[in-house]
Amino acid sequence: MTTDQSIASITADLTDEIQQVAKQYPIRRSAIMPALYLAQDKYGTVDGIVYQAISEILDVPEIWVFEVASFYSMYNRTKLGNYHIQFCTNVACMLLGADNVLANIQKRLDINAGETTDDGLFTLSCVECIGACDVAPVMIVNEKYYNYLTGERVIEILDQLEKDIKEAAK
Amino acid sequence: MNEQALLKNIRNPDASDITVYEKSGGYTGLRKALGTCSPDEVIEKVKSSGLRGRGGAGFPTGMKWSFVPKDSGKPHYLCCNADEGEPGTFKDRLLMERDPHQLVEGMIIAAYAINSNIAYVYIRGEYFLSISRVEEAIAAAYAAGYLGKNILGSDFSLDMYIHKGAGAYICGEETALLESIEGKRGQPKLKPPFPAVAGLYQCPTVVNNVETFACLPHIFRRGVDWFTSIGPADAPGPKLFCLSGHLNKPGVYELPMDISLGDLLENYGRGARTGKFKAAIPGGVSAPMIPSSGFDVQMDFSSLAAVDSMLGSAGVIALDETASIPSVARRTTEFFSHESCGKCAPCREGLTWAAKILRRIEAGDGLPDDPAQLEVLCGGIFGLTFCALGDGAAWALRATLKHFPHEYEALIKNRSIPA
Amino acid sequence: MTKFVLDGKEFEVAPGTTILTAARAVEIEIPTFCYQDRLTTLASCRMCLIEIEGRRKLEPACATVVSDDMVVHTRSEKVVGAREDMLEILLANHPLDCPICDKGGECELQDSVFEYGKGDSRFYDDKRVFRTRDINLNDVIVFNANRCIQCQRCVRVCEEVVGDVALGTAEKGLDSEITGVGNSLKDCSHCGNCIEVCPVGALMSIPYRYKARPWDMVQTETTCAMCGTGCSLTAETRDGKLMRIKSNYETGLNGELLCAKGRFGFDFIDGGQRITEPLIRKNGVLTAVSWDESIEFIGTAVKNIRDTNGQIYGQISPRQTNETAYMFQKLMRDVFKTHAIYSSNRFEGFAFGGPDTLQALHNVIAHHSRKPLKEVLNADCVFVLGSNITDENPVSGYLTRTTLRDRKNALLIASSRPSGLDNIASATLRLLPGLEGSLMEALTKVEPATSDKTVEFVTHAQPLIASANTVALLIGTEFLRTKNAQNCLEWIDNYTRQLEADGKTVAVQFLFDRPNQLGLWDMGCLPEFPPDWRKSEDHTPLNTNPDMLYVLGADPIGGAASGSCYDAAMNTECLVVQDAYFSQTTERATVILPAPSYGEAIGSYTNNEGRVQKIRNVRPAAPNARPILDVINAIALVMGDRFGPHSPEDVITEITQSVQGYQKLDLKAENDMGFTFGRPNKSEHLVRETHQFNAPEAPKGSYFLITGDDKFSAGTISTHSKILPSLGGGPYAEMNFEVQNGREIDDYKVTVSRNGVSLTVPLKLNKSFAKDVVFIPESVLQLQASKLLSGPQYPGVVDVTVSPELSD
Ligand SMILES: Cc1cc2nc3c(=O)[nH]c(=O)nc-3n(C[C@H](O)[C@H](O)[C@H](O)COP(=O)(O)O)c2cc1C
Ligand code: SF4
Ligand code: FES
Repeated sequence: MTTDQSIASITADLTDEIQQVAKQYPIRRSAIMPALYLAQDKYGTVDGIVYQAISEILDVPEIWVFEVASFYSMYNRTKLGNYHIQFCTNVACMLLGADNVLANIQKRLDINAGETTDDGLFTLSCVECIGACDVAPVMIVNEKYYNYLTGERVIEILDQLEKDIKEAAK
Repeated sequence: MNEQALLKNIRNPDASDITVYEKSGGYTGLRKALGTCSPDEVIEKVKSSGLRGRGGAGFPTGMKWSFVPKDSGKPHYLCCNADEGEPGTFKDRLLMERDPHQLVEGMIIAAYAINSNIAYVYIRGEYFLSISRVEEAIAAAYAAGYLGKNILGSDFSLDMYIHKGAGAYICGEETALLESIEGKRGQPKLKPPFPAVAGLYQCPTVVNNVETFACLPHIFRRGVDWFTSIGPADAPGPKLFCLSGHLNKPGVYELPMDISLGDLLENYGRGARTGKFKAAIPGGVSAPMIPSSGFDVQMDFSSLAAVDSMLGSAGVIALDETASIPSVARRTTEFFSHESCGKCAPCREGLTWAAKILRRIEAGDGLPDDPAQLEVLCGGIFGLTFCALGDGAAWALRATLKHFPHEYEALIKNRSIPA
Repeated sequence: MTKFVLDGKEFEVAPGTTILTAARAVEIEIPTFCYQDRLTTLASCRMCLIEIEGRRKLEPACATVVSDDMVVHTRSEKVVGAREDMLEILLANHPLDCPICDKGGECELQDSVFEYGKGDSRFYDDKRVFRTRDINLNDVIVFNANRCIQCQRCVRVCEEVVGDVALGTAEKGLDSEITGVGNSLKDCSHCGNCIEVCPVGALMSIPYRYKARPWDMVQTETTCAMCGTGCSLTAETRDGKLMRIKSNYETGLNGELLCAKGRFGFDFIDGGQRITEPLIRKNGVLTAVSWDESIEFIGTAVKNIRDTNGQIYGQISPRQTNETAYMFQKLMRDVFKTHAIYSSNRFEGFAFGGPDTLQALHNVIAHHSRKPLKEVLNADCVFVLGSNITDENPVSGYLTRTTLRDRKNALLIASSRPSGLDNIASATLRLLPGLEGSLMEALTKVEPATSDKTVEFVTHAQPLIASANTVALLIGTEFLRTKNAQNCLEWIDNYTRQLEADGKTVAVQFLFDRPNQLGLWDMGCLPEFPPDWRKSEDHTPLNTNPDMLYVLGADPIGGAASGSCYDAAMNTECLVVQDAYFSQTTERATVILPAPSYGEAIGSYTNNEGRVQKIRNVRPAAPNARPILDVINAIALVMGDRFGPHSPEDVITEITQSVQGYQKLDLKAENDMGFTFGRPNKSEHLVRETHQFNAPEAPKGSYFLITGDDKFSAGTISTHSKILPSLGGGPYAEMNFEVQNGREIDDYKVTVSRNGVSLTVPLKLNKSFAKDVVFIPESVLQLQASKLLSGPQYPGVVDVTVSPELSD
């Protein structure tokens, strides 16, 4: 993403919002997490140049920004597909057949967990419990939960998602 | 059906609207607390209610608040632990998505009690809907004069902000949560000093769970006596149980804590799908599993502790006879090793090692002394780690070795699970 | 006091003591990895777990405070078992590549496993491998992630002590990895303290890589030659060749700490161009001569000058030892019959006021608190005046940060250059050198009449100082370059006395940029003050055009390009240079005598604290480098003077008898020879109610040029190092400048010019500088444009143009 981005342009994009959120905290360092989210909302991912810009805006050491970006799993340091599938593989889901559902997703998309399809439509991540064990197996696609997944249902969902985006593109 | 307090409005699609909340008695608890009690009296009331934290450790809430020094000369902070990440737990999400004002109102009462003017709600980043519902609730509370300057005409002021987590289970541990708000990697802080004395920004801080806060409006609206009339004497008040796994009717149930595990699974979860339970994890995967022979245990803090397990987050995962215990152990150990913050050696290195052995066993490459080795490894982790994550992981793994040794042996010998 | 039982014996300790500290005090060893004195306690490695009766769990000794009647076991079965478990778990992923690891033989993990381990491991699975090749984090630090045990000592030392925050931790859990931004270390001081504190072979020194094994080397304890902080260090050599510099937890004021100059600059002893034989200029050409001839030549010259009532000047480098300094001034005073003895020609401020200035210096020096910096830093209020402490005396800066980082409102800084401590200071002020005195004066006023910024600073500082019971002043020497030197000294003296009159305890310490400036002065290397600051009887006015300049170890021509010794060196008929290296001064010399270099002789230095410390030779002197004492004696001898002492032992005896506070000086002593004390000053100090300071003014559009040492330089010797000059990224000019939108800093070049001399170097942007000030390191100016500094005024006024040269 940020190949055509410079520190100056990121600073111009984000300074106001970051300064605004920084007011919620008594120290600037606290604003690193929200600042990374703001950058991610804008550019999709965060990377070295974003860390540098945030470090300048908040006047904190750059390594602090990188430490945070790499510790928390929800900061995307690589480009994601249009749909980000966060598939829960934790115990409750596992007990209800998540492994089988996952295998179907992998086959359907022809990728492994952690990868993005060649057409850039889907990224598949296996995640820990997402707090929906009563409707397991579950996954989140972008911000939407999909419950009671089965091997067949998940294929239908993926097909539908693919159709949706192709139609929207037309 | 028991009387529902926390979940009373959960099926009303408009419950998150502040006017709906107010109509069903919302914010009268706050009015009572603010209008009739000094902060110390609020703490006393909460103490006498016997409310114990719903986040995992079951620490008496009023007592925790009373540790906050009265004259520290520093700002005091209040934090809500809404990082709900314990596998098998989804009650806080329900509360925040459906009826978030209970949380907001409870936090205002707590902030008043501990003399805090800034409160942070730490919500896990994956809870998109919770975040926006709580955001809306906070905005509505500001608009209605429950937040901001001079709340309800008193000289008490409070600002409330959401701090979004970003995907790290360990941030549910209260000191890691504070580090995270400080903008650092979420690693637990050294205790003592405890947060009540030196927490967020080295200032006195109280951290409570969503459900703990949600109990407070009810305590103040309906009185301490109402609260203590529910459940066992040392664990009063309504409790949310999250039921999942091999059950016919999983979900969140509000019940007193004198219910037994078997009762909960059979009468609320409607029994095992295959008809026969093998075991259950009573309080999120950190809680050691209990074989079906022990299902008569009462679901309160001390009874579960007595059988070498814990109520934890009250995330009950039921395992029927089809479940492979070594696989469950492998998956939970993987979870903990994946979510280890990396700070202390036994958890960081030990759990990964244990996970490797468990994977090997599951794949049919187990060595005869692997279970013994796992036991030794658990001994090198349990009780020696920096925070309770590593402890819980080793404790939970140990229980599987203790209750189901034959499953491990069979896997190693026959490469298959006995029927 | 708190009473408790440790391994069956009862002990009493001060309340608040941790079990670890208490145990170590009675020599009960408890193994640790993450714990380190000076750093915040982490308690994460879990090696130090011990058993406390009545507690369910083992507790970390490093973080558990002893309480009354606690019963502690450090060797119970549970504890021993836990240690075995911890080590086995740590080794599960630790590569067993000890035979090729640089740390082999001095690895804390290796040692602990040997001492506390079980001996075997049951780990059959593959070990985690981050990567197969190590990463060079920069030019001196290389990192092997596989060996890291996550003790975080490096990260903490970098942030909490050094103040760089260059290191951090990436990822979490088992993937946790120490790193810098983009796998390199941005904002790194290259001090290598992270290497020093690494318990295993994860962070390693590139210069030392694969060079030697600890057991193959000879260790010599000595004192650093770079600055006045006077860090203890261990030089490790093999077959007489320097392999590495190490610091040591137990020794010196610095313990495990060193700065880049100390740790990586020691190789200067192998750099520079050595003088290998005595030389005399004959018909304009330097010609090799015998020692006898050269000494005969000097003797005759001195005799002639004495006979004709001529004038001789002497200049000695503040890197010479106390012993040498003492004999040098003795030769000058007793044999050469001169009291024109100088040590640092940068301190030109002394020249302006003459004897009065030196008297003012004595007043302050008499006040110099000769005690440990650590103690001085415990003051309620610490005031750093006129120094970029973290660049010029980095380890003093580290110690200051360590002591003050968690104390609000304890540190004040007023200096021309920003320093690494600004971010923990309660208030900072950018102040041109020479105005230190006016600031002191302003601090005594109810309504100071100075610039807005100064007023702001003073109003902030006054109540802090007023509420402090103890005040420490750490004073740089930059003002000694200025015409206001005397005023500054008087006001420092005046202000300290006023504080004392208010009932405060005041500590004053200079922050010298050279290792033995204080010692040289104590030894009498000053025109007005013979050894021990006895007032001189000799007030012969000095002839500014001396017939001879005798230079010992110094380089007046390559130095400041102005000042009395510079003028003398440029004009005198007879320039004698005794030194280890050729320099700009030797180019003009009449006689050149080879001397042993630092590292080839023994002696003592007096550091900023007034502590006398040993310097030792790490190798034999170069073949022709005759001991300086020998040469001094030989010169006296050819002049027929009765002179002595002759042996090093006797020199020391004479010093102990004639200089107060040096009684512990001893040829055979260990490193630390105690604190000296200044001669109490009976003379009246000068209280002036008001004073006119000549605040320098730069015409609009021009700048003040200031100079000094940076993190990688300490005068000329640091330029002899192969490593140091490369670390700073080459010459630069540092200033505050508005970079145009969209331009990268790297595009900018700065041209500084004055009197037809100019220098163009890359811009180093620093927003904390005053807008009308430009800084260029002295080592850069000395090599490339020392004339920029010439002239009677410091800081000089220069023209500066900044050009955005696109490097495309
Ligand atoms: C590894 C770990 C994870 C935790 N996760 C949570 C959590 O997600 N939510 C929570 O409320 N408490 C969690 N806790 C418990 C908190 O540390 C803390 O005890 C609790 O938030 C206090 O609130 P309470 O007194 O209201 O229970 C966790 C503890 C540990 C050790
Ligand atoms: S037990 Fe695990 S999660 Fe807790 S501090 Fe240690 S490494 Fe971190
Ligand atoms: S030294 Fe105490 S835990 Fe590491």
